[in-house]
Amino acid sequence: MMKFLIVDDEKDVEMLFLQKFRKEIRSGAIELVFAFSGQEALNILNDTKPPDVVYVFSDINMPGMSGFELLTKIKKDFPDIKVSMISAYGDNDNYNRAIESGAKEFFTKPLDFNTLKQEITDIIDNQY
Amino acid sequence: MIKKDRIFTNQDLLLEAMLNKDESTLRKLIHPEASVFGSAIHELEKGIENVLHYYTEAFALLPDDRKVNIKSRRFTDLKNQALVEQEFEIHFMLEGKEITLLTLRQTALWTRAEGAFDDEYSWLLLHDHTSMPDHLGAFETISLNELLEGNLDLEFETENLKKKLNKSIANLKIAQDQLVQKEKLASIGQLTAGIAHEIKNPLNFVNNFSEVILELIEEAREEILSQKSKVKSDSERSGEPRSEKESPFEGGAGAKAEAGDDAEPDVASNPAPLLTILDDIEANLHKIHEHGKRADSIVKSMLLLSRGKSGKPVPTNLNAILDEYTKLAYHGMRAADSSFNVEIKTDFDRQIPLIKLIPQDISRAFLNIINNAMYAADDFAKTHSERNPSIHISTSLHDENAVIRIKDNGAGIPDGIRDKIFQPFFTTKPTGAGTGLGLSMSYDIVKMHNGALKIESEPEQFTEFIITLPLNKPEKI
Repeated sequence: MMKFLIVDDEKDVEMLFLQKFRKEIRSGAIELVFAFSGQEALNILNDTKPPDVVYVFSDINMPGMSGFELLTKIKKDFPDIKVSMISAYGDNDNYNRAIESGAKEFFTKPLDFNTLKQEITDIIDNQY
Repeated sequence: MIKKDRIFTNQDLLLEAMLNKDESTLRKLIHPEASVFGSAIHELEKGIENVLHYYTEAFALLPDDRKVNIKSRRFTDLKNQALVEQEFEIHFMLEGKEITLLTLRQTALWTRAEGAFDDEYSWLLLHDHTSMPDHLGAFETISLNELLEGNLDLEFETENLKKKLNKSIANLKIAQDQLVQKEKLASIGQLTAGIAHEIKNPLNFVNNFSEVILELIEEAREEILSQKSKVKSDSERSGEPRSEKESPFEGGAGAKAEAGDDAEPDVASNPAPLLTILDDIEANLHKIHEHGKRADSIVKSMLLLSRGKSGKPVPTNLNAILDEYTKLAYHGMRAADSSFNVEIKTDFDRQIPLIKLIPQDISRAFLNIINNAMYAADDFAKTHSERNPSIHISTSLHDENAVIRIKDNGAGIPDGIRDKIFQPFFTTKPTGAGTGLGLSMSYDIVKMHNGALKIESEPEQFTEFIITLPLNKPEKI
């Protein structure tokens, strides 16, 4: 069981991800946890030592702590946790900044869940 | 009445009638054989008709709101005649100021009318010499015709100037309209990225929830088929007639008991998995609808903003508009500058009723003020790393007013420029970053809603814009 953390200020993201990955969740391959702000995400990561989350998917544009700040903080405190960014702004600036700050991938909204599923499948396959 | 007073009275009447072009009074005061001479005449005018012509035409050149001020006056009694020598000024009013147009010297000879009673018409003007004093430089006699020609030239010139002025005013009005439109477009430009982001979010849900529904329908179909096949195999095994087991929802106890080899043993006889799928589909459709409407309202507000003309006041949810435009402003700034960030605190009074407002106008005012607040908070924090940039937006009810407060913890507004910030084209932003029209437009919009816009600020601490909107005066808009 691998734990993924999804960070987005849009609450409906939880319902969407739970349905999109319902088979993977039902089969016990993955577990999804959700945070609706950068700070909440850090709280979750600090809950267990070491954190049991292996991968964080984070929105960039959130009130308060932005996805970029969260990315930098996670990479500093928990360098082993993979982080990918999700944003409605797919421009080069955002992409380059994400990758330079240590993001694994950069996904644009509207989200293509097939590529997201592929990414998660790859992670699971590499694990075993 | 003594002779002197009578003649002075006549002298005043004569001047007044001249200034007012009161021909009938002039006729009663002037002797048929009277003559005039002076600076405005190049040869002696003789006879009442010529004198009348001189008086009415000469004074027609003067401005309308003229008045006369007698500086000095002397009287000489000559038995049946009397001489009045006086100096007077003609004034007129220009923009509330009294301007002296002419200083004149007049020598008037009055004569007793034959057989007249002692009334104002018992003395008649026989001769009038009016000229400008030498020290004022009027040596030359100016002919009446020259004066009239000059007046015509002046009228022509004035008419031309008027036309030019009207044209300039019209051009200015066009330029002003264009600038206002430009400012509107600029605010839309600022917003485009914010709007794109705001629309992509609901679209993300619409696209993905509908995709999930397709998957769920496929899942439901598989579910039904697997139940059918189980029912079939069950009925084959038990030998019961197939028709009674056609529907997956009619699975009996026997079917349930014998479905033991399946991963989910209850499926064949239990409608629960299908009902769960239907519940999910229903919830997803609600979400699609909700986010579709959200995208729709964003596009609508964008269209409202871009519309050139002002709309009509309609009952409006103030809190909803503030909330929406705070988000749009935030995402607009964020899109333009990815390092931009500001904490947003909102504190809306849910008791505020619907208020009659022109939504596209008032939202533009809010957008401008919120944009400024975010800019100020972010800008100050760039050079003061200890400062956490934040804005606080609140609404409250106060007497018969809704009060909106938009506060930022930016650099504040120095006292010296506080009275300037509502002036058109005044901006403290770097060249190209602001048109300087935002706040002046916001001020006008709030005024148009019978509201008030106030600023409180402390340098390096905060700036707070306080907008007061009356709840119940929609008829005045």
